[in-house]
Amino acid sequence: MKALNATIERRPDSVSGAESQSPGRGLFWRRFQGHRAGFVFSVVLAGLTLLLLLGEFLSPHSATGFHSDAQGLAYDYVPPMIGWVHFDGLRPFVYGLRRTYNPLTGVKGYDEDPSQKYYVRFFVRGEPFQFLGLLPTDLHLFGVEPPGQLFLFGTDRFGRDLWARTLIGGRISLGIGLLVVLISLALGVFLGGLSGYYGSWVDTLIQRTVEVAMSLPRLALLLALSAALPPQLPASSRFWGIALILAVVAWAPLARVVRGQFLALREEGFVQAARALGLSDMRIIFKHIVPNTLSYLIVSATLAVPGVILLESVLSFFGFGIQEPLVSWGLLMGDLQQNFQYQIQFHPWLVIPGFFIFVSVLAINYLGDALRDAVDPFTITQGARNQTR
Amino acid sequence: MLGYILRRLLYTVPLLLIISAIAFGVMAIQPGNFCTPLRLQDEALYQRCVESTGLDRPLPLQYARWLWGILSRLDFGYSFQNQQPVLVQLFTAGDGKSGTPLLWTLVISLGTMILTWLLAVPLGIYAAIHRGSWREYLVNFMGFVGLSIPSFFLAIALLWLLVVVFQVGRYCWQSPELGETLCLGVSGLFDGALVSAPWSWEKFFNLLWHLWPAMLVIGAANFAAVMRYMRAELLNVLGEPYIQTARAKGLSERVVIYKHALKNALNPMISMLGYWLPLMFEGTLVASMILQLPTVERVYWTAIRQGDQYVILGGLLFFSVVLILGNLLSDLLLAWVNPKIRSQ
Amino acid sequence: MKRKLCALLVLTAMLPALIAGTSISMAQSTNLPNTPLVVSTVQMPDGPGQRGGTLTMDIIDNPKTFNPITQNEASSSAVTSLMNSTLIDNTGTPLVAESFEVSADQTSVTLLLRSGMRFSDGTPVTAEDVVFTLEDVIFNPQVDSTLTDAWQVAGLFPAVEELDTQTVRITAPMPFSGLLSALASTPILPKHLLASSVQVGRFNSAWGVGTPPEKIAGLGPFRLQSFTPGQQVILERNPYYFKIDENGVQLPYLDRIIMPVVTDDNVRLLRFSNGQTDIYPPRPEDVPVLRQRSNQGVSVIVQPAGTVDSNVIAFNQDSEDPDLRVLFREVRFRQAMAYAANRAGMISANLNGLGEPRYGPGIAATFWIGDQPGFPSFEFNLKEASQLLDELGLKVGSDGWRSFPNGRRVEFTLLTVQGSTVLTNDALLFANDLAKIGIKANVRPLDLNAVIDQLVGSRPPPFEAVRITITGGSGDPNLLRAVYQSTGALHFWKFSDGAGEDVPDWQRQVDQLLEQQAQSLDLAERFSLLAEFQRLVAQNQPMIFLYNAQGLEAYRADRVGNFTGTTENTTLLNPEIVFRK
Repeated sequence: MKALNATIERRPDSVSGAESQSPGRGLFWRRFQGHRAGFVFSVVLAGLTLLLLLGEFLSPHSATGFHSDAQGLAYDYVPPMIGWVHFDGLRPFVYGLRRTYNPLTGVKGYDEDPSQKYYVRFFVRGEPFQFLGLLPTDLHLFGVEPPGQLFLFGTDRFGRDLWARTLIGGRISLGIGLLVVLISLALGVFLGGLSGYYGSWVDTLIQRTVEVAMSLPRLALLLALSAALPPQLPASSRFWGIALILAVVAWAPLARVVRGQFLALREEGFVQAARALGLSDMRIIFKHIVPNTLSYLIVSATLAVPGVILLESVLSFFGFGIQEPLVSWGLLMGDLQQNFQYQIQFHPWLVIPGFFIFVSVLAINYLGDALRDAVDPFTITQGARNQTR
Repeated sequence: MLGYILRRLLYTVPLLLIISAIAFGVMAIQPGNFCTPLRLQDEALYQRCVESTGLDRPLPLQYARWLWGILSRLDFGYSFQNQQPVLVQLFTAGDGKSGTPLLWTLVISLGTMILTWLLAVPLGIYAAIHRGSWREYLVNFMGFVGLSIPSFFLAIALLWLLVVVFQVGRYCWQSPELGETLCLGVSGLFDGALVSAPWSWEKFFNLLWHLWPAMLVIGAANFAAVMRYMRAELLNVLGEPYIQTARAKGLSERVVIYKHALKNALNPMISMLGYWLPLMFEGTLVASMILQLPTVERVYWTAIRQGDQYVILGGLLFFSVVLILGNLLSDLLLAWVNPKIRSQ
Repeated sequence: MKRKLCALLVLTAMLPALIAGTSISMAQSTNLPNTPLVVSTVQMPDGPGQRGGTLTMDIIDNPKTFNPITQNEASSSAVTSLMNSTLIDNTGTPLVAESFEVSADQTSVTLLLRSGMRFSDGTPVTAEDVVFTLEDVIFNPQVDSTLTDAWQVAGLFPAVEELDTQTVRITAPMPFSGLLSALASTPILPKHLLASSVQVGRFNSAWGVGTPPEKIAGLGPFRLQSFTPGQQVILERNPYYFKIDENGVQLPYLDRIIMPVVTDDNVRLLRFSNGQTDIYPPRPEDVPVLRQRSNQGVSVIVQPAGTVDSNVIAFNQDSEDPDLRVLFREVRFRQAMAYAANRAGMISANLNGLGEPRYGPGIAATFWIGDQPGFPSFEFNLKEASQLLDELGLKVGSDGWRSFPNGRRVEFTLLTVQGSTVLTNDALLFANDLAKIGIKANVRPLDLNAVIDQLVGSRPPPFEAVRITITGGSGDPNLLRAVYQSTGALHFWKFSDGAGEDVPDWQRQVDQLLEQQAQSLDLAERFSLLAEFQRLVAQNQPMIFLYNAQGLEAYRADRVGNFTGTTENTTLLNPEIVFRK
């Protein structure tokens, strides 16, 4: 569906020597900055990535904790409290939460209870976690004094903190995008390289395989495959299963790109020369060909990431993707759409993860676009043309 | 040329064979089968179901029988659920008044494609002419926005907007066809009993009203790509020496762009048409499920949920054929616009 | 008691016929039977309506067949139930039959058909059609029907004889309490349209979705006008329908019912909000949305929670894991789990508060005693749960998790169905509360078919724990036998009981109680037997019972009159009296 932007493919006939040379680093950087929107969105993306990486540290709550008051009543559907942070001079504080009830619709809600006041404190001890997945700690950037609560983005039906869930879920969504593209890239480089470099029957065989892979309807295949994940697979491993399945449908176009590149470069003077010198195939491939296609591969890969992120969200939307208790943006959106009208009318903050999907996909698209322009202004045509598989 | 087409078509046969085997393999690794839910009612009922559907036979035998049916008498099996041939279920169920799944799939996919191109190509040209200006940024941004919204979300949000915010249900008219009052509705293809009414202008306009959200949802994802591609092609051509020459000759920018550059920039665009076709079909899958469009994709999705084996296989083959044909079409168009390739 | 009940049935059978007798002259249409059935105004909440108009209600999927005998799922029965009628209804009122008589020994029933009665294609109904429906179709071993079981007593079918063209006698081989309820669930088929398909052995695929409407006929208030797959079913009035209102107006009131196929829940709600449909069975969370529209004619009916279904968390007492098997077989463990189930939390999170907690098995409302004082109820109480677990010797370790005496951590997998948020939410909430008392439950959503395989695919089944819903169907207590009797096919939580090893006393009692009530014809006796059954099950918690949802209906009160609800959210009740305002 959306992976139209997935790859840059260059037909062998359209690759000329001049184009495949990487520009100098300085030139690249200047061109990249020249793409203003791309540059801005790259900064946004970098900020977002940092936010996601530091997820647990930046949120006072865990992504899976059910929060409830002293009576054990869940803090369900608390509205975003980001607007309820007040300042006492420079000291931020929040008021306590008071439950409200709308007798017409029967919907519960919350408002501020000015009789209780809780100061926001920084660098507080809270729920333990692994900082960047390595360092066990329980230090959080901020938190409020104990009976008080601070849900920046509000909570869901169980009183789970949406801020934490968005950050942790984003890590899985973006992570899966990156992982899938890396797997496909590895597979693509291996097969495409083999195919393009050796030619003859190896090429024919791999080309046919790629063709079969590309003739399979992707979404249909995805739905079928993810239903077939073994039931013994624990939920935490499902992440890898889904990544692998997505890679199965995503590798073929990348392999085509790589083949085209190798095919063109094989005939280049410097490769011929290296051959004449009797260098080993491996050495030629990794020392001479790969570096020359690297910039191109990076661009293709970047442009493939948004498609994968969206595919994951579609899968999760249908209930086939990431499963509870893991969190991903797609899963959060799937949860929202279960009762779309109810949630959007009474708890519109649940749409925030969707906004994050949108911004990150937009940013990566712009980044890819800028990278493409920066790598080679002449290829702008070829790149765009061959966006179609 | 004819020989080339024939060769390509012949070549799709082994390709489809392999794909059918893969599709069958994917079916085989699914948990359970069509009959499995019956186990919660009665084990004997389950056994009867398995026997009558032939699902208890060894997999290679099932595959071989299915394949033989196709090769010998074009029999793609039957739907366990509806007890009718797969071809009827997937493509031809329905009548002239209400249309068939295949018809609607073609109408929606091709219609969206045409519409997308009609919009995206001029905007791409516009972006190329105004390169570097805020206008280009705006057009670009619009394209990327369409690309970045998950289509399922776009579909449901669109319906919500129509119903809750714009309250389209308030707009009613007296139907001359049915003799009763009809109001604008959402989802599906027609309002009220117009589905089975004979064709009329009223029915046609009603259809258009229901088609545009579908086309928006499917087209949004592809609009950006077409537009950016058009822009890039035109920029590329505008950089060619012969355009410089034309400009140097003192031709007006208008003539240069529309008379010389555009013609050459559009050629490669045409060759890409075939590649876009399968993408439209894929986009229709999500749109059909939410907007309740009676397409092949929806029949296929229903079959997936019910484990209706042969309908799923038939659907997979159909989508593969669309992909292959799209690629073939592209290659042919490429050859048509590019004599260099034709001669090879 | 037995005699009294029987007499009551016969009396109610006579009553409408008497009224009908007085109204023959009022029925002018020749399409009516000579003695039409009069629907009294008392049964119409909004009084008699006027004829004409269209009702639109979405159905959740394409009907799979128009065959009322072989259909076995809701989207087909939503349509076929409007197109067919039975000889009598489940309160003993004669419908297609004008009157009937049950023999004193409860073995046979003699039915007199309405004279001049016609199928929806105009063909007269005769005793032959009844004989055909029963002998050739229902009793036919080649026909796949869920109705077949209801007609069997000790594995034998009753004999059906045609006394004359209007009279049929059905004789069971022995006293058979289910005879009238079997009659009330069996629609009468037209022999002239279906005889050929029975002869060639293809009845199961007869009246498939591709059948032309004129080849389908029934005795219901509506008949098929057209079906467009993936789009809609249109039903039109049956001009030969046998009911009239007190003013002598032939029913149904409606000209047509349009049933668009809409598979997405959200879209159905949006269509109802938009005024495209007149009736919508809301989900609990739709209620606030619809209440906002109450000034636009939308009316929401909230009914008390049902008693028939059971929402449960079940533990596999045959688990291959020896520690878990011993633990799950321990009644105190299951009671602790029942204490740990936060039913109010689940109802609030899933059902928007529109549900009631349940502590015992689901059963028809007439037998249900779950709300009686003294009924064993393990209400949410983590302290009690914790104490029971301590008693079992499951000590809390330094990491906060409990472990078996042998040092292994107490940990199990709790399956739910992928895509079903309600089930998954319950499981997550349960696991969250279990974590507080040191039990680690890993929630794992699986594809539905995979879950079924895990439950009943092999013996002993591999699952450890599961959150599922056991639907009670009509609520007939005999359906419970499959689940609760140790030899039942769905005794998935402990199949080894069927093999007779390590069967606890209470299970033996349950087996006996269910057996006894099946043979009893006495309502009071059945009630006390089933009450005892419920107490036993609730005390021993073979499964942890959670809650039932309240019944919800929404309709456009400004447009629809005499709406009396739906069954299972799909089938319109009393469709013949619904009218358009």
